[in-house]
Amino acid sequence: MAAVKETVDQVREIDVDQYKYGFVTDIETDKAPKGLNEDIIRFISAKKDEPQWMLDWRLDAYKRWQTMQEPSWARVNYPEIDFQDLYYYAAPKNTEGLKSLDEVDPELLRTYEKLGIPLQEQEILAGVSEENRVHTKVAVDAVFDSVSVATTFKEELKKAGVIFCPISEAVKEYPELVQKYLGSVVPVTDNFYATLNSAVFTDGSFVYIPEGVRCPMELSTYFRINEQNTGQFERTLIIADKGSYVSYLEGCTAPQRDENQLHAAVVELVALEDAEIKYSTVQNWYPGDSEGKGGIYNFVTKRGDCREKNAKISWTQVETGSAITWKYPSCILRGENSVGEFYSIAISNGRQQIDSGTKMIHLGKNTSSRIISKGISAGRSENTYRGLVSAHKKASHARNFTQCDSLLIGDQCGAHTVPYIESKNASAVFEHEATTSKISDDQMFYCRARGIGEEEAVALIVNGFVKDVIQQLPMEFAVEAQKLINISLEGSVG
Amino acid sequence: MLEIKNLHAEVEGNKILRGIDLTIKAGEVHAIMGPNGSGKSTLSYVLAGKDDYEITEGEILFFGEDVLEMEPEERAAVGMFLAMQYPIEIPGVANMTFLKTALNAQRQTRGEPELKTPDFMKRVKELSAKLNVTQEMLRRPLNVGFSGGEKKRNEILQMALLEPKFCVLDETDSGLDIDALRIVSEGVNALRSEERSMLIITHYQRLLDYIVPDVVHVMYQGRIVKSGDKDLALELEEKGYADYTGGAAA
Amino acid sequence: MTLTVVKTPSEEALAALLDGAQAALPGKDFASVRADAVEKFRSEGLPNRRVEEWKYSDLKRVMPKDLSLAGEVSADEISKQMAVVPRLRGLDCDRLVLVNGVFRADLSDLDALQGKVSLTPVSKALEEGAFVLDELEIAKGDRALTLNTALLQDGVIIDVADGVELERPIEILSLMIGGGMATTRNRVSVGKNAKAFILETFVGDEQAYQVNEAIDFRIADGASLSVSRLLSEGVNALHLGSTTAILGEKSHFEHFTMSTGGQFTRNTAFVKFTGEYSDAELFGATIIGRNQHSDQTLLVDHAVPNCNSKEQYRTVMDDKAQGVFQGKIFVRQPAQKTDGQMMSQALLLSEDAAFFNKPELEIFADDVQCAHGATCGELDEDLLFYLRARGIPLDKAKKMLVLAFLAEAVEHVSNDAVVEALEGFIADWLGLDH
Repeated sequence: MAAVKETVDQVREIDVDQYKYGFVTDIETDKAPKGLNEDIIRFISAKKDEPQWMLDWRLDAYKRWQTMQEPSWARVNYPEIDFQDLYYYAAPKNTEGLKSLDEVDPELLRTYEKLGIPLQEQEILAGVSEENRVHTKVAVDAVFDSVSVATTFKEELKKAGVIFCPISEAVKEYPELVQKYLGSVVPVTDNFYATLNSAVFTDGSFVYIPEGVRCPMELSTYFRINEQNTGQFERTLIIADKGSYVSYLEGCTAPQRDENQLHAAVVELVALEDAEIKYSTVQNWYPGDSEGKGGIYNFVTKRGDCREKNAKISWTQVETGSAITWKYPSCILRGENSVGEFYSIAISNGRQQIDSGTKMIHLGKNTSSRIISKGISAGRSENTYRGLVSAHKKASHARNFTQCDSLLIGDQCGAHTVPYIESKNASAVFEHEATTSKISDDQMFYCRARGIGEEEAVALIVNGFVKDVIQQLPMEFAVEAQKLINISLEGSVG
Repeated sequence: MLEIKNLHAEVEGNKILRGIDLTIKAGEVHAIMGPNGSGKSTLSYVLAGKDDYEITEGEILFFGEDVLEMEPEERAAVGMFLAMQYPIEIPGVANMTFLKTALNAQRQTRGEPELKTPDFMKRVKELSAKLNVTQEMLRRPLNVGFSGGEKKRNEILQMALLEPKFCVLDETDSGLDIDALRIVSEGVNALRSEERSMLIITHYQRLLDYIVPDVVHVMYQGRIVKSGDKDLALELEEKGYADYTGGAAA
Repeated sequence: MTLTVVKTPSEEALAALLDGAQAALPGKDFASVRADAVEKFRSEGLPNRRVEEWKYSDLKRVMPKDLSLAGEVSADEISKQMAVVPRLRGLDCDRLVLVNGVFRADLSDLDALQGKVSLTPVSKALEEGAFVLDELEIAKGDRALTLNTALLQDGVIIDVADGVELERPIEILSLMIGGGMATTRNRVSVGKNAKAFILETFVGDEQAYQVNEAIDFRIADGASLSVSRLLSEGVNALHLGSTTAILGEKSHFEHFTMSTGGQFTRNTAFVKFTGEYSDAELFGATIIGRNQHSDQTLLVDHAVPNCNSKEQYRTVMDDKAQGVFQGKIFVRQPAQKTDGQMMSQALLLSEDAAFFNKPELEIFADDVQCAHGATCGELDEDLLFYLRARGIPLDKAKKMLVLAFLAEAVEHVSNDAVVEALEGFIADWLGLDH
């Protein structure tokens, strides 16, 4: 419809290899010396003015990390990362202790303006078409390299009892909540990257929705890597107390650079009784150029814990960026009747490599999960869905439905599906379907016989292919995602 | 309007069309009949520009312009339309979205302004009511889960909306019951005009009771072996194709 | 990454057995091939759950630490066991027999096969330097095959000449008696436009024994081969099976596996298309109980365009049994117009049973239609109720539904007599009258 049209127009205006968000912000930064050791961790902790327990937690993680091996099971290839050749902390100067948005460096504000992220506390306009435009409020936490530079609508949220702040602030302001939940979903030693993150995480968002509260607006965090050779290690912790609801959005971009940059995040979600968390991501880190030069290495551990009965966690992701994506947003379905969902669109073009999927761990009775994954590979990319669905002994009447479709555009790319389905309970019912195909010649001909050009026909059919997932996104994100999908496939036809 | 001269076409080395000559003037409705495998559907696909067919000889002119040089979408934009025997399903793409995208793509190619959403909606509603295409069918993904009759009505809806100058109806009657056949025929007849021509491909004379042609052609082994007025169709219904197939198919 | 191979007692025992056996094994020319395989085993140890392909079938854990080669057995003992072991009976076929890993011409229907096919014992081919391994790329490095090579004793080579259509199935029956380890590799070549039906049967007594068997199928252009494989080993058996099949142009390969026996069974099939317009149909039915473990692993390599493969496996588990299905359709870049359809369905009959399912697609060509499906659950309550409402007792109703579930896989076998025999075999296993 309108969005498709708009997309195609937009695609035409863009040259191949033109990543829209590839600019660099010229701003003075404060950096830690290159490399990783205990002193660097102490430096980060001191920068954040952290209590001793937090530093101890980090140092313990670092000790464990040194004994760990980088995982090699994913279908991604990249040169060995020299973890000593990175900066672990970089922050724009003068971002500490800002009282209001007026105090934020105008250069930073301009950056977010260019990225289309509203840092002003205003209603934003969004909608898929003129007829159903909606006015919504979105609170934004903007993370720039290693620090949060601004968080909007904090006061209004506070009135509703919602805590939404940088995690570095939460460590100081709400230590009892952080101590209770941090590392309770993704243990410190969960995996190589999560352990590294535990040692060196710099910023990210903290959300607490109190009992019975429906969060009055969408919350979002916008991640930007700016500085060269800098790793971003964000940490997000969201707790939805009994009977509460929150919808959280996450977006990410980075400048176009020839070197690879590392991003290793950890996101932990905790949903208590009757609570629901909806977590949406549009990941658009710089993917590298068409020859595979540059781009973000995205190694992310995201996990949600439906800790009590009737809890629900829903992950929706649109993955179009990054040179390497290694990411499996998962749900631990512990509480009885709890529900986990994973909706994913993963698009790879150029030389991108994606190994992504989910884990649905059914531990409690009557738990159910649903996985809808749509992979699109183009160019010379590799796109793998890897997923685990498991029912443990006590997970009576667990249910899973998985639909996993791949679309190939061009004959130089790969699409792979690696599901693990493990059932230790007879009453658990699991269904899994997967297909791989290309856009059929008949569909293309039908569109063209009705006057729709080749590129537009591909856009139309692809949009149809991913529709089930797009529908899961909040509306203001859906439009963005749809545009992004088409831009990502630019140059893949013909 | 349309001139086909000595058209030869092959699929994977098999000669299907072996010298078709056909001229259709503005406002005329022609029907092509013939036994299975005579090349009727191939002719319709060649007119619309499907990839799999190789044109080895001959030409197709539309208002004097060489059609064979045009991409399928260009043919659509200059006003050629093929109502398909087996309309294609496209999951996830709402019928309405498809209609609007197609209409505006054609308008854009012709340098006409986009039809605004309210005007478009009004137009679709009017046409769909006549063709018994429900709102629900407009919302559903294109042709997915449509019955045979629904698919054919949807084809005619597209034809009515896109207002082509020349329409090919490939076995539009197949899979239709009498009521559906009547609705579809009424839809087609409503589109008959001095400026619009049609080529109706069919197996049976039945459809031609509803859409009365000006000229009837018999096609056999990739050639038009006889042409006549509408009575030829009745004759074929009675006697079969035996006179033209050398008695092979009675 | 350097990993030291931990030598468990069973690994030590196996290494000792391999070393000790080398001198007596047939074929001087083959000695170095065996030695390489022994060396490879020493550097890798037994496969375990940390090796992705063996994730659900930990051989290291189940390999016994008392190991020896299977010995010789008397004719009396053989006929006694032949009469009692569960196998397909009453089938009109020509039989070749291996006992404890050694081909027994004296027990085989050589006269009946005379003139129809050419037969050579593997031990003879080894002695003559005429046995060459030409392993498939997709099977290279397979741990079970490495062990098979390291200890290869005997087997039978069957050649069906071009254009020959065999009327009766040939049964290759492997019988184990008195415990110990046996290692065989059979080979069946079906010539151009030839047609054959092979029945593989694996049976044995109740002693603890280990079978490592491999079979290579070479299906020439235009040839058609049907294989039915019955794994009906004794209750304490450990069975490692590896099937490799290479398909020529316009050929047809039908492969059915029935797995019911043994304590621990791992059954792998590697199938490769090397000529266009061929198709392979791979089916399986597994029914296990007690604390049996049965693993069905497949790898189908679409290396050329225009081939179809269809995989359908059904698994039923009772008691504390564990079932595993791993299947991968691999479509290489040139293999356009591939059609690959894989389905794995499982029924869990008991609270303590478990099923592990890993159906994979690995696709590098764009003009393909590939799909896989997997389901796992218990018997349909509505169907059970329907049968009971018609007066059938619960236990019998369950068995009937299980038989029906597996029969859907069995019915793909193209020989009606074999289908009937297999269905009877399942009914016997279930204790159903038929």
